[in-house]
Amino acid sequence: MNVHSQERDKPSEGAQRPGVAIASERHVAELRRAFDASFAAPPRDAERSGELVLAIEAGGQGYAIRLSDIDGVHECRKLVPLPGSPPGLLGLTGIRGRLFAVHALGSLLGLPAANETPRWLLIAGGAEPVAIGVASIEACLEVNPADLVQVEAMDGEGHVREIVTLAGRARGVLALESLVAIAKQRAGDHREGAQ
Amino acid sequence: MNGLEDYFRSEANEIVEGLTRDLLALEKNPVDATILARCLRLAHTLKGAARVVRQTRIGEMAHTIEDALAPFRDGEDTITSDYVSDLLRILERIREEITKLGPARAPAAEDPGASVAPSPPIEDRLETVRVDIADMDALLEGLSEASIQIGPLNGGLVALQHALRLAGVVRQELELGQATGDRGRGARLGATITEIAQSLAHAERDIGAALGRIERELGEVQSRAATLRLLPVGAILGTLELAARDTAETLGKNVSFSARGGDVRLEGHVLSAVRDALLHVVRNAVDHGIEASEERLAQGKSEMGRIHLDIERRGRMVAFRCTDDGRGIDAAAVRRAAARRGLATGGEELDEEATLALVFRAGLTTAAEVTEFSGRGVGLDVVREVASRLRGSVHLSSKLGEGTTIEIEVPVSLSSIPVLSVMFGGSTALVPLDAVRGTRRVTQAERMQGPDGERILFGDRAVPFTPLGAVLAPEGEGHDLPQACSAVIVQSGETWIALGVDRLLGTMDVVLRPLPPGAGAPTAVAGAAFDAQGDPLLVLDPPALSRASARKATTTATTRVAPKRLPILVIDDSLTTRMLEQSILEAAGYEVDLSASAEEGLRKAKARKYGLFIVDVEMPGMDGFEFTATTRADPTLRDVPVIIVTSLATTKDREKGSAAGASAYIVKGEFDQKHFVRKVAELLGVAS
Repeated sequence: MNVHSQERDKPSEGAQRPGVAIASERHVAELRRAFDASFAAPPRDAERSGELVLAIEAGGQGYAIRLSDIDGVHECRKLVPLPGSPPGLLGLTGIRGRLFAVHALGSLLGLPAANETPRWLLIAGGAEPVAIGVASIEACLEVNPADLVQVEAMDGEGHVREIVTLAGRARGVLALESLVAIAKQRAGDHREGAQ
Repeated sequence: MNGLEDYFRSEANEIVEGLTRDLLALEKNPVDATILARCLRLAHTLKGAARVVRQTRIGEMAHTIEDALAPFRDGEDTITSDYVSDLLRILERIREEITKLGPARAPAAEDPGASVAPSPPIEDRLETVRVDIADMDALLEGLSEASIQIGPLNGGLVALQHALRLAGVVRQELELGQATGDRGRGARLGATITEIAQSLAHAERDIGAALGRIERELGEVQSRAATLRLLPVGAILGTLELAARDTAETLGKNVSFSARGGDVRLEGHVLSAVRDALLHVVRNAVDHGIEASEERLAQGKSEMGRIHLDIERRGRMVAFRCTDDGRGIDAAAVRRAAARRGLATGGEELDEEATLALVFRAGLTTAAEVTEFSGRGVGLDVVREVASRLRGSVHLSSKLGEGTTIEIEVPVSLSSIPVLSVMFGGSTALVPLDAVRGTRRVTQAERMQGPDGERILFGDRAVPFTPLGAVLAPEGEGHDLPQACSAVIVQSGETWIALGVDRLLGTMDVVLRPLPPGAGAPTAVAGAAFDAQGDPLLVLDPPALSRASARKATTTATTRVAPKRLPILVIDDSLTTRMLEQSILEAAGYEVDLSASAEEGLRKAKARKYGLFIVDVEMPGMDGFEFTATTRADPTLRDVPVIIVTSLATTKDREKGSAAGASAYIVKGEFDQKHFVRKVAELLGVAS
């Protein structure tokens, strides 16, 4: 994916193999600082506020998601598998007295190790929501809308619609509606008459 | 559609429903000024509302009704039945116009059944609150959430009880230690621990009492909230009466419709499904049941046919009993129609009940002609389908010349259902209790392997046995059942299956929730419910389980046709034995014919070539020994082996059987399925 080639192309200092771990630690530290700083910052008026994005990881890859695209973030509790499920449909879970079908984000993106047990669930899909399981949430950051760079046909499936650079590292911003659509299509949903 | 039009649509529907009921009431009490006044007021309100939203056509029609009713206000003339019919036709057109405005956009639309349920009767408006079902559901959801919070409290209580027990143990140990010296330390510790125990006991008492209260209160609130979303049956009576009346009018018949129990309440989508079923029942009654006036008079009946609907609450079920005083169902005609449609051979002896049950089969009609209303054979099978979908039942009784009664029994609510909780491989699943016919312990030896899978005996049935794992994880993540497991015997329609589980956990009431979006439609899962921790538990779907089981049987049946075997004739005067032997042999892949007497058996034996006779000894008329001897003497039958299956166990009997020419002698008391199937295979010259 181009997103990752971009990441590799980024001149992160000491990009040699032995330095990868150090760079990664630094990267996490920067994200943490930014995360903490976002709480310390004084409240701004709505017009000047930036876009909140979640830096997440699924299938061993880093991505970003606009906070405005999701309806909630919950810790993943017990998953009950369903018989004859398509790949990626991990099962059912209960969140505040409501049932959700949990799909692994990695599987929706077609990544290997896709059925990893998720730690977090992102709720998306509007009136007919599904829960999308992600391995970890690294940070919640505010970015300048201008830093979200539109991409055109950058990935074959069309799940990445923008690129954002967080703490010096470029990440693909996922378009959740297409992922939710795939989840429902895989499950073979025919929710006729649901208005 | 803007908001105002939404309001209009809902109001107009309500008014039309109310006007229909009131006009029908007015027809019965033409001098009742109160009803007339109410009709006038409703027509007037509808006219005004229609004009506000510029629905001039509806406005004009409402005006016509108002004008037409006005002259009766002074009481000089009384309204006639024909006049009411004309007004009802106008109302029907208004209803069509309202339908054209589009479907209701209420949030309740997520439940399509609920949105078509008729509104509560208009005169209830002052006393009843109109509540959106979606809002109600949100309230119920909140309450469930609150109940879930009790779960951890319960856990706390258990922990406290445990601590209390431990404290007791420690004190005991210290008391024992006193004997060995250091008395002072022991006493000090003992006092402290006593104190701990006291405080723990307090905690237990308080938490326990509080929990009990919360649970009681919440339970009360939950059941009250649940009844708020129930609709009175009265809401559908107008529609049913109208259907009876319209059908009668078109067929030129004279019919009165009455009902009792309209104040019984049940869930909106249950009620709307029942209404659809009852529409078929009522139309059928008018069309096939009620005779034409001349015929009725000739039979000494009153000229006007009577259809009465009795609604009665029976615990968590509601029974709708629809009775007509028409011509009743001619069992012989049903048998003929069933034979014509290939639903029965026509040769078998069907008792009254079995014959009447045929009426519910798809495509069966005894009507001489197909009318606009019924006679296509698609009415009563719909009734059966609705009853089964609602986890209810339907019964029919009829007396030729006197009339027919159809009783539909459905649960008040589908949202809360009693279930049997079972454990398999560390996970829990729920089986709706209404489908459970029984449970039993099963050992490995009792699971009989047949060509179409395993079977176990339940009563005198050989029921297909499936480990629950094969249902819940068909991909086969191996969890083997223990040597002795439990079987839950489930019936849906005519199919029985036994589900093998590790153990039974008990019964409970749960709120059944449909599977969420994105979960697909997994086979055999009806939905899910929450446990005390708020985690989902799968609720199995017995009809889907039996469909899957039936499909499996069909597949294996087709695959085992290949080696052509001769059929087996089972002769026994006991129905139970016939059925038991038939089920065992069919499970083993044989085709089986049955006879209830040796004489009938002989006739069948001459009419068809059999590979084996299985015969009982003690039967009225010719006995099994005679049958064996007779067939041995017949050159065309002497090569067909005979197995005698009997309760006569003495050596003398065995010798008698052997002398008659039987190839094998099996004593019923020592009956062993495996041995039986092996013997059959041996005699038929095939490997079992």
